[in-house]
Amino acid sequence: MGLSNYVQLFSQADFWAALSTSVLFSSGSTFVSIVLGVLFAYLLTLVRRGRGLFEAVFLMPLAAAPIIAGVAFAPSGFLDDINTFWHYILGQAYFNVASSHTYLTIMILSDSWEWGPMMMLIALSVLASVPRPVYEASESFGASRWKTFRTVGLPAILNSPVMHFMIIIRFVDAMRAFEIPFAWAGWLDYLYPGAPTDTLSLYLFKLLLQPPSGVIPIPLISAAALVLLAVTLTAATLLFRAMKRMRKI
Amino acid sequence: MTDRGGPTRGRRPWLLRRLPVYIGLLLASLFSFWPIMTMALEGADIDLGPLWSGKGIHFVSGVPFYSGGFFPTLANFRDALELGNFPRLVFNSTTIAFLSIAIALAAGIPAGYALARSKLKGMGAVGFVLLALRTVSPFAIVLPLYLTYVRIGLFDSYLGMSLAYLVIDMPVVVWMLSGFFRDVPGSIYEAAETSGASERQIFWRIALPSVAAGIAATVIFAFVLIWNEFLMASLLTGASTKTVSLGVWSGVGETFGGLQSAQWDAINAAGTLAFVPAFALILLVRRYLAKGFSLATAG
Repeated sequence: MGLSNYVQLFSQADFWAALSTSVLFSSGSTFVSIVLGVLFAYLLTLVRRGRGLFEAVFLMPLAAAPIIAGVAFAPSGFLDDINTFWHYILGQAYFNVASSHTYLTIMILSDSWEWGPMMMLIALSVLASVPRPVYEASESFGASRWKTFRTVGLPAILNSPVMHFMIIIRFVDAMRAFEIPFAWAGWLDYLYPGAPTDTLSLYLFKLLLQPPSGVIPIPLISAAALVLLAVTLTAATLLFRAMKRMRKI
Repeated sequence: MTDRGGPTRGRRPWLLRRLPVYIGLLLASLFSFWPIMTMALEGADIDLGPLWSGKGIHFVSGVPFYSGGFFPTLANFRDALELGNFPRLVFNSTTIAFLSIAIALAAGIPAGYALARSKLKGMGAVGFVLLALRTVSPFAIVLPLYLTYVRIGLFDSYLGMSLAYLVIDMPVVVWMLSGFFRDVPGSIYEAAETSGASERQIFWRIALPSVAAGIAATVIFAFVLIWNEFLMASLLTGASTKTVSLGVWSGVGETFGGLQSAQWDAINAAGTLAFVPAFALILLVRRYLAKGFSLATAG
């Protein structure tokens, strides 16, 4: 495998588009799933009655297969329900499915839907390990629930090494995400390699199965796979360092 | 959980104060539940979309017509149950997942504890190598494993699959648990040390009970990753250990290569069938370990 493969790879606009979609999708879904998870956990800490029931409902997406996250949020599924509500009840214009803003948002949302509950579990576990006296002290000074959460719970969650690990592992896993982009390639009929919904792993998959010139470009695919590995590893290392520094402060 | 709750300030203000919280919880539940419901309904060939607009039902000379897709059938579920032999797949997946997680916990809990508490040099490096393993393409792992397994007779066996999945759950268990052990406030460890507890006692009596909720979260995460794993399962299992994730994807089956005309109804039905046991197991793990946690702290 020579350097020429890399030159060829880097000179392809498709490759750069897929790479940026991957990075956008991964960082977006990592971020949104944390927001959802922390929000769910906070809501649960506010109630006693019905807490078990709500927690069970929140955990549901975890049990769904990843391909279901792609299927259930499809233009004809969840998005359609949102659109009908948006259009008929609120009287707004339809969301245009083919616009990259819409489908990327929904793809990120569906991945966060699947993994938000995991972040919620982590947040709840971290909250459970904060000693009760700390909460009671804060509340005895007359702090509201929200203020106690913001000054005690939230920092504990965000500074927890477990949360940092989850952030890294979610980012790394989302970089390899396959099911959701795969489903969306089906919804929008983007079946050729280099389509706008392609993440890097789906791009590789399509190159393998539907090579544009009829011959499977194995050197190109292995070059792209190595680049994906390098990008993921670099990002993971940077995140790892940043979080180590954060923990020391 | 059996707490009667509610401050003694009278009922009305309590309800009023709690109302926004419950509305928030309901909206969040709707977000979590809606796609699951869609999946189950579409698996049964029911499309309720037009109904939500309020314009789905038309009356033509007094007879109601529904403009959405409403052809309820259990055919997809029956196909998955009969042709796909789903109960067996569920049994296989569950056995493999829990065997693998048990091995990972047996080695990973002490390892995580050591990573969290030991002040030896090089612990950070050990942790990072474990993490970096996760970024390696599964292709690189699965081919050598396949060749080895065929030779030593682990191919298509529960033990073989469980060992192979250690690649996935071992880093997760070690890392998450070392994080949870680190989250236990240092003062608690110190207090135990000054009162003369041995390291073994600290581990069993103090560290382990305080991370019980964390162990539950870890087991759930590892379980979900293994339950949904596709690539290794497709290469390393044969007829007798085929897993649920293969069953869900078999809706895509032969057309998988062509990326086209996937049978979304079949996927939805299989997805619903795979969802039920997975959800039950997640709830079981969460309930069981959370209960153990409250008992440990009470006693």
